[in-house]
Amino acid sequence: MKHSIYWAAALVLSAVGGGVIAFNSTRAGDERPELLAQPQVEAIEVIEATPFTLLAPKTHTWRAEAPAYTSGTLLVLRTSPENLIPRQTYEHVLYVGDETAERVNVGERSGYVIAIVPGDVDLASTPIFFGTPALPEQVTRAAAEIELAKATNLGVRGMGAARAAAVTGERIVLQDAYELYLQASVAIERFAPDEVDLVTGLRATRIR
Amino acid sequence: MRSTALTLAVGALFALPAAGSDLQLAGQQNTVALLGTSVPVTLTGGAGLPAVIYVDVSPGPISFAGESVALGFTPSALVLAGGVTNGAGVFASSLAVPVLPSLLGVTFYSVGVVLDPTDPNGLDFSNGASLGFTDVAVNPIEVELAGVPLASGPRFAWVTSLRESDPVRVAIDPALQPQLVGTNVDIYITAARTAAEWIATPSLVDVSSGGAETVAIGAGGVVANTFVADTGTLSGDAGASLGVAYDVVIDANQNGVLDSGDLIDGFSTGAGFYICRDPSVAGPFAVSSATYSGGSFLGQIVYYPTNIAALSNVPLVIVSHGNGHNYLWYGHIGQHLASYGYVVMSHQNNTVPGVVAASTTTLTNTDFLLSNLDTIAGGALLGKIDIARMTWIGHSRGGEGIAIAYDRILKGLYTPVNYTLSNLRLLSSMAPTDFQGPGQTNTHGVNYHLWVAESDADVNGCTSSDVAQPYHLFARATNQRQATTIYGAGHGDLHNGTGSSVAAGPCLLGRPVTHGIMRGYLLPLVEFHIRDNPAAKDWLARQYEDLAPQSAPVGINPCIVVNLQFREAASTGKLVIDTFEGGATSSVASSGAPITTNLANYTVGRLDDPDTVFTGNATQPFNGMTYARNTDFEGGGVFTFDNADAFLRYNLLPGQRDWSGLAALSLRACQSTRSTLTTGELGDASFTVRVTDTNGNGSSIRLADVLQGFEEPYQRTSCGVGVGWSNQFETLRIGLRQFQALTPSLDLSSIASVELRFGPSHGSPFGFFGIDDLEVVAD
Repeated sequence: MKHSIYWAAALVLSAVGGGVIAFNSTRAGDERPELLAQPQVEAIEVIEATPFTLLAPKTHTWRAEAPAYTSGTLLVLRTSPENLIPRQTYEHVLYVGDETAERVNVGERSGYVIAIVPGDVDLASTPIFFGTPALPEQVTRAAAEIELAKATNLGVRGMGAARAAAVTGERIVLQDAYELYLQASVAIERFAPDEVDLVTGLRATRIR
Repeated sequence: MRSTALTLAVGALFALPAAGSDLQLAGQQNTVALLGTSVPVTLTGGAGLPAVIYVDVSPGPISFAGESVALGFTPSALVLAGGVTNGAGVFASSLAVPVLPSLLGVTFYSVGVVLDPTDPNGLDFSNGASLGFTDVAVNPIEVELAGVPLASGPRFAWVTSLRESDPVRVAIDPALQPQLVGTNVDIYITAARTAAEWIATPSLVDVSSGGAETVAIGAGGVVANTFVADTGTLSGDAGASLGVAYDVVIDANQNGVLDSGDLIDGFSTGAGFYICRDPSVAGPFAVSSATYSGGSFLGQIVYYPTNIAALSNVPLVIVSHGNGHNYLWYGHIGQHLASYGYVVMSHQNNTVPGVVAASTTTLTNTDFLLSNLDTIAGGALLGKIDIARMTWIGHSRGGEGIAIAYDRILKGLYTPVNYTLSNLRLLSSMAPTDFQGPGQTNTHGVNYHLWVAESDADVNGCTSSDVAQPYHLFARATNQRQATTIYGAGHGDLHNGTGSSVAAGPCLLGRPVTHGIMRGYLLPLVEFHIRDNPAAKDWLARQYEDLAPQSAPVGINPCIVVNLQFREAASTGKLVIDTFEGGATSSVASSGAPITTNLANYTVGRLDDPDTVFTGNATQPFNGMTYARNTDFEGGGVFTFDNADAFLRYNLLPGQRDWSGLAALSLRACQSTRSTLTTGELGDASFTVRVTDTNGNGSSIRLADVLQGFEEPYQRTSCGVGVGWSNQFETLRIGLRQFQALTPSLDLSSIASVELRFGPSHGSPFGFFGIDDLEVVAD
């Protein structure tokens, strides 16, 4: 019940133009910083974008409908490391337009997050933003559209054609999700080298 | 010829109805009966279900329907009887042993099975039991002897497990053994023997320092009759197990033989005591590991004994990491348990989308491992894993994920390929979240363990969010459960990866100390649940201050504070007086026992702080309670007293009065956080427990005399105004033997009341307490 009280509070705060949910009322030691109750306007910079095609479909467990897809975009994003502090409780959901994005690494120290988003993304016009705290697996497409509308109203925009062209690479063709994560591990190694255990784990030798 | 003799003998022996999942002969799994006597038989299973007992000359086991069944099922096997369990799921009878000399030297093995529709394969097999025979009447007096001295009260605590290098003391209560007063006796510490072995070989061989001790028994009570039987030289080297078993014999006639009139601790009810090495220290096996992947979210690392080729029936432990964590970060668990002969697999866990996704990867990774044993680690594990004894461990979102995974299998929402629900013997969550609530995040009746890091800055336990209250999962476990709370440990201390401890509060421990505490508890935890090791239970059920690993020194490092909770399984035969649920009120216990009290504000209700902070609030009796959300039903009682004596008395019903087969009174209690009645005297709190029989003989024990009391809340700030984190329950057990030590005339077969006494005359002069789970346990 207390949880729903929080969300009710969040809605009220959103309705009056924004606010902060005090998930921890004060900070001490390693306590987690407060989460914004609504989509953030802080820019998320796109460093690289690599369209890909999978020969075997991958399930997008990051949205309630869990769609399968065979084409998508591998993104390298940069943001404030504080946005990337991992939590076991609710986290800001990363959106690319009206689609939830899969965060492959943590990025807490580097500020770089490597993300996978289903479909081919028009980066010139598609906003990338952190939305309302939630579990991505509970976010429906309809809820994602609402988040996009909120972000757009707050002024979040795409990067424009010139920048999009500059960061977008050649399409790659991969066998399946395992190979996609291997590809992601290369980006993690470059941009978040502190996450060496993640890289090692993703590169574990495939036995089947 | 042998088969015919067996058939005849069995036919003469086993003409009785049967029942299910727990089978005991004379209160034991293995016993020896004297010809011409009778053997009590107890079978426990689901209520009102068909049941069958089989007997054979071979103990097995065999594999049947995915289970390891403890019987050989040779051509000599017989169906002894069929029947239906009663409303309590219990059947009790006695077995007449004929005076048939052909039985001597024969051992029969037996197993029960209940046709239980809730079991995945419909068959609920019991443990195996064995019965041997003798015509020699050896009737020593069975009594607890080994333990530790106390400074006051009953002056001695009779225990099961002792630490290696600690002295072994033996206490004889002259009030209960008046025949020994004024005599000299010899004290022997021997290697443990079964009753059958004692009967076959009754000669006494002392293994302690200095040999057997000759002592004089006086009339001066327990203190005057407490003796050091070993100075700490006994070996606790149990190899890849925990605890070396010993028996204690008081040779009353000093003839060097166990015979009638002698006292023995460890005859028909298991060993007298166990000497245990530090359970946080690595076991004897070298450990190998292999890292591999089966594809997307099927990355795994497996730890196993390097000599696994020489082992069989190796238990399997699976670890599911938390959000932002990594499957390579649980080597402190994998290395430790593998060194004791377990296989531990830690896997990639899909936690970031959410806890249901995480539950899926727990399920799929378990199946992947079991499907690919021929390939993983070069096939080293093939044919070695006992899938009937599996453990799931999960951390944070992964800790909730394992509960959801169990619930999904139970509800038929997921069907594993290579294992069934009954293969999961233990679930253990480390600082779990609770996103999904009781409808999905629910471990139901499986054995459940919870780790709580009380300095956790992530799943922090603050009442501001139900998601971050880990005790919810513990409270939902409907049957056997235990919890371990570590003050000063952070969320990140529970793994051994990189990054901070994710900790807030005073006296932070860091990873090395936290891991020492974890290893020292984890080994007894799995030994108890997975290997049925009787030496392990003391490490779970006694207070941490009373029995802690040598390498986690309570008292030397003042920051080490660990609170333990332990609740017995229903099948153990315990007497439940009050669960504080199921219609319990402040005047009637859940069992129906009437309650009388002069506490002015005694309140029974849900253990759920009603607001979002721990700030002290005189209008909130359940402030600081984090065991339930509003859709849970975990209840408890709360009350205050302030420099005036008060009592809370349970007047037992006639059916609750016979405690003669029971061992200890158990309850859990806590202090309420941020109340001046707690902070006014910050420290362990205590009260007095009094039991009175129907003849009016009473025995009172002050908790402070036998235990360390129950802990004050961790002194952490935030989550409102003030100092003090969530209310910290601890399970407190008082041996019934201790009540008798104080009042020998106390008739344990006819107890009329249990009374909790509070106030200046009985313990803490003032306090704000919570209580729950008042039971009398059998072991």
